[in-house]
Amino acid sequence: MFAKILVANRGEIACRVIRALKEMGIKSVAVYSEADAASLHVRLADEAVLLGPAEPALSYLDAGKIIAAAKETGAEAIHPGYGFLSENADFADACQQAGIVFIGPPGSAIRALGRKTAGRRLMMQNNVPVIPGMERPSADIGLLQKEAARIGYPVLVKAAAGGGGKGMRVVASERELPEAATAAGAEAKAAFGDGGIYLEKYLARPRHVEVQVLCDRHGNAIHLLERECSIQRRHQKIIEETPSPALTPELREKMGKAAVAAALSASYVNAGTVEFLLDSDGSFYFLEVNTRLQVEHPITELVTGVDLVRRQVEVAAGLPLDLRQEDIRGRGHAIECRICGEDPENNFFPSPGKVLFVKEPAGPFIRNDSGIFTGAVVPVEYDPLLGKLIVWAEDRERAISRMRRALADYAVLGITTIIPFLSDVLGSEAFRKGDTHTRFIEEHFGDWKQAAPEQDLTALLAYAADSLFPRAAKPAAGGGEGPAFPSPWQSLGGFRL
Amino acid sequence: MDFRLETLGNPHDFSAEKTAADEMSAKINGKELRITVTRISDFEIFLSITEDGRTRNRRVFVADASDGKWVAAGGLSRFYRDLTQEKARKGRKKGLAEGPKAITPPMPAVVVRIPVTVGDSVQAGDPVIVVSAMKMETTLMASFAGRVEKINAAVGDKVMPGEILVDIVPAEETQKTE
Repeated sequence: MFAKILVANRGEIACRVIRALKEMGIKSVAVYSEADAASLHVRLADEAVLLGPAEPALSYLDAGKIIAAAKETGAEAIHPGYGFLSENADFADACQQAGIVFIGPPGSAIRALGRKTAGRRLMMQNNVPVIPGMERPSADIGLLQKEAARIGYPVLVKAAAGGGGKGMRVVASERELPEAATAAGAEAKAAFGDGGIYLEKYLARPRHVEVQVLCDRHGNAIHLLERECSIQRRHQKIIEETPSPALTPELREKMGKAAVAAALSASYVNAGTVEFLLDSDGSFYFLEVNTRLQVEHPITELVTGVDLVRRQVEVAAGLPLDLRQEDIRGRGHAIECRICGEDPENNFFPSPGKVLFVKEPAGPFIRNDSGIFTGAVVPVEYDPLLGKLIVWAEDRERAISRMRRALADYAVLGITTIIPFLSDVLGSEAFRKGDTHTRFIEEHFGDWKQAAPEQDLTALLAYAADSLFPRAAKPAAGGGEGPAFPSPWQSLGGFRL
Repeated sequence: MDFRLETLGNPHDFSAEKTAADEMSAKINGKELRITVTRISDFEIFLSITEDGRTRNRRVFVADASDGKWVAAGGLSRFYRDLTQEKARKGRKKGLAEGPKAITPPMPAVVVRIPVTVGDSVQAGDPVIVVSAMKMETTLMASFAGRVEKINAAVGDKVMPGEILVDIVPAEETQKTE
């Protein structure tokens, strides 16, 4: 096993990985940009190395600097997290050449699957159904227009590299194509360092269902059931759950087998996710393989009891998987909500800034994977994901209730979050019925506004109380406003109420 | 003490007075309330609110901001603007006062493209500047037809809400002045 691992990421996922390393008795090295000098992952790690300026290309996407940091600190392996360099085959190769283990699939598997167009070709060869679309990326507007006409509008412009909806645009007509292609290419270039785009047929109301796979270096490959990730805004997931309310045991088995076949066809190693679109008639289409850990991996961990990050490290160290397919059984229901720093009443515009205060929910079967803390600054340069709230319960209905209770206990002051929006989505009849698809938000919550709330009265009184009873550290001019003796609450400091 | 607050576009006027070391009274929406206040920390306060002889206990979180406070109560975290400070501040945020017609970023962002140059005629809906925040590109569009008079930002600039990035003279005005 490794003695020291560098985590080439930031935010909640860097914290997640560092925590797993601590539990395994492995030293951790964080890397960070100037914008993240005071961030949580830097504080959690045993060591931290400054990469450079905030701009991703000069820090988290700079493979040379990251490998140099690993060598300098004596890290034997690099965990890339998700995003940034996690699906960059050249980076995986460069690590190998530098004698450092890349915790993920080999560069060859990333090339075979990671670029979505290459993945599509491979799937077609292996008789996995794919959506009509282009087989090779192109930046040639003329060719794109010709291909779009062949596929038929509306088409989806997609980034050939990466995932997470970055660089994705729906194009309804030929007129919109050039601007959408340029913007998508630029966004993909900024996010993944690769501006390649391609087109795909746009399905109207599909579900997004993905299957987690785990493969070792000894030819063992299993799947860890599905995740339904249909609730998306801007083609990015915000609520994920497992099991999917749409899957029958037969369909689950079929999709699981297809996912394992897909992984084996590319000699895949480590954790990966095979994404499918599921049509209302039960037919499913291969979408792409994410050759890395997913944002939403915790829900799989909660229903299967498998620590995916620990398994990733073990597989990378060459250990055989001691799990067989029949060992994987889903128990209960898990839901994840992505706590994004965005304004749901204003088109989900990002709301970077300083977190003045944060209080995460607690209670039974609740997990917080978070990268923020009171006083943290959320930089403008990176993703608006502040953290993830994950709950488990015996069944879907109870999981929804538990998640809504937890969201109601979540306080984030200083920046606007989508928390109240998430709660309303979970509480809606359509969601409760399990009638989810990728256009759910547009159809049901397109012009969502916060309800005029009864809570306002309490909030106004809180405002008044805060004004009239100043903080002890800063007594009002003239003094004497702070309590003269400790109140029972203060003297009961150890209690949590 | 009189409070004039605003949140989500709704004004709230009420008054509250400190009545004891751990107590205050409030007049709000025609109701008289008595509240026991226990400050737990800089951010956390316990309230026991007595209304019509019935008491309810609430845990709230409050943080100061420059022109108001952020409050979390009953599952909602919101900013409450102090309108009594508003007059003193008027004129400082020129951009916001011009309303939705001004070309200003909705969030702190970085300018990535400027598809127009000074002197260009633009139609309502034409893209005039593209900004990027948290890896998402947002195109700011002209909200009326006119002529680009001035561009106040360059590619790579960090820009803030309220800063007017492109000045556009409306078409009618152009005709009047010329």
